[in-house]
Amino acid sequence: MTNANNIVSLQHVSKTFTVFDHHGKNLGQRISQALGWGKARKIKVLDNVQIEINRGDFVGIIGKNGSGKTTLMHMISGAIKPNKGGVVNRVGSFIRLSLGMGFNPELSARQNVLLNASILGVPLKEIRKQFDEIIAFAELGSFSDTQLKFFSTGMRARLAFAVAVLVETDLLLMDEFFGGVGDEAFKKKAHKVFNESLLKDKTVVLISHNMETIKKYCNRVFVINDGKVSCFEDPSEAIHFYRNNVLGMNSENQSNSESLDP
Amino acid sequence: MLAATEYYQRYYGSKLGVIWAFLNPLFRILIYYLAFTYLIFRNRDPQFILYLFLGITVWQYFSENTNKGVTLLKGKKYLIQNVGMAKSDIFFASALSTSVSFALNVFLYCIVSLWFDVEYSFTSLLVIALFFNLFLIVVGVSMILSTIHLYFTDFKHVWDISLLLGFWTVPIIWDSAYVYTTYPFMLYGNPITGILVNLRNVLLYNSTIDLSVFALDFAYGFLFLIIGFGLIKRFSFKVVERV
Repeated sequence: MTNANNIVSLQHVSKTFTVFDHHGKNLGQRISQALGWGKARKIKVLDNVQIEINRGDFVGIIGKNGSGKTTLMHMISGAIKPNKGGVVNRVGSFIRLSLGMGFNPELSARQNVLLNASILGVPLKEIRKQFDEIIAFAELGSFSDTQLKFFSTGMRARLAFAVAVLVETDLLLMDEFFGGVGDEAFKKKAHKVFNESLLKDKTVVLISHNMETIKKYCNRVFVINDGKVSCFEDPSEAIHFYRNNVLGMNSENQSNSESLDP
Repeated sequence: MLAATEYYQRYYGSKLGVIWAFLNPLFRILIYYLAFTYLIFRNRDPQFILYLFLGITVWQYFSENTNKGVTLLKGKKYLIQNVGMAKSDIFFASALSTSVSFALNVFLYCIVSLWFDVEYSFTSLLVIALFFNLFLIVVGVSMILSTIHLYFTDFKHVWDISLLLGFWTVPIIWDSAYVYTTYPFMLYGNPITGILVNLRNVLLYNSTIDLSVFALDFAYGFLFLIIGFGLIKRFSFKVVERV
C-alpha cells in the first residue's frame, strides 16, 4: 500500500563497502590494487534495513561512531545506492548541513552562497537581495568576500546554516551539525530560527549524539547497531534502547552521559 | 551559475582578472608569429601561424576540459552530497566555463586573420556547429574519464600521457593534408582531427566542410555523451562513498 505522504522508503536495503587496508608493497601489488584486484575487506554497514520517512517527519538517527549513520543519511538523500534492496525516493531537493560542510574553499562566502542557493533553485535576484541579511545572520560582516579557506570551522558552519535558512528544500539533513555552529549566543539565535522558521513545513533528518536534542525535536528515531536499524515512534524509548542495548550502559551511567552538546 | 563561478575562479586573485582572458590568446598569437616567422619554419606560408593557432585552440579546449574532467566528480563531491546537484550538470557547467575562452580565442583569431587576408563567407558560420560538436565530445569524454577515475585513481596520470600522445596524433603542427592521404584512419578514428580539419576549412581556407567527417564526428559526440550519461548514472554514486 502506498502512503501519499511518504517521501523516502528503504526496502530491505543492504550496503557493503570495500576497504583496502594497506598500500601494496611492490609495483605489481600497487597496480593490481589500483585496478581493484588487490586484497580487500568487505564491511557491511547496513543490513536489511526497512524504513519509511513521511513528509513533515523529524527523524533522528543515533548510533555509535562509525555505525553507519551518515551512510544511512546519504541513502535517504539518494546520494549513494544500496547493494541490495530498493529505495523509493520522492525527495525533490535537499540540503545537508555538516560541520565540515564542503563549500568550495577557493571561493568567497558570497560566491559559495550564490552557487549553493542557485543550485537549490533560489533565483539569483532573490539571493542578492537577501545576501546582506544572510551574512549578518551568520555574523560574517567583514568576511563576505574572503575566500573560505581562511574561515574557521565555526564560520563555515554558520554560513551553511544561513544558507539553509534561505533555501526552500523538501528535506533538511543535519549531520552532527548543531554542536559546532558557533558560540553560545549564536547557538541560541540558531535554535530560535530553527524552531520558528527553519522547521516550518520541512522534513528533517538529524544525526546527533545529543539525546536532549533528539528527545526535544524528533517524532521518530532510528537506532543503528551492527548494521541493523530499529525504528521507534517514541524518542524516549529509542534512547533507552540505545543506552541499554547498544552502549550497554546501566541506569546509573545514563544520567551522566550523552547530555552534552550534539 | 556554476559555469560563471568556474570561469571567474580561473582569474581569481590576479590583478588584471578577466582581462587575462583577452591578453592570453593575443600574446599567444604574437609569440607564434615571432617564433614561426623568425626562428622555426622560416620559409613557411605566413598563414601557418593561423593554422597553428586554430590547432592549438581546439586542442587546448579539449585537453583542458578533459584534464579537469578526470577529477570533476571528486572535486565537486561537496555539491553532490550536500545539495544534490545533478552530476551531469557539473560536466556541462565545467565545459561551458571553458567555452567562453574558446569563443574569445576564435573571435581574436578572426580579427587577426583579416590582417592575413583570410576571407569569410556564410559557410564560416558552420563554426558554431563544429564548436557544438566539440562541446558534446568534451562533455561525454569527461563523464567517461571521471567515472573511470573513481575506480582507478592513477588514471589522471594515464590521461596526462594520453593527451601528450594525442597532441602529436592530431594535425596541430603537421600538415592536415596527410590525414587524407597517408593517415586516413586518424581522420575517421579521431573526432578531434575531423573537427579541426573542418574548422580550418571554414575559418582559414574559406571552403566548405567535409560532410562525411562532419556527420561522423557528431555521431562520435552523441555516442560519447550516451556512454557518459550511462556511466555516471550507473557508477557515479561511488563518489560519495569514497574519500
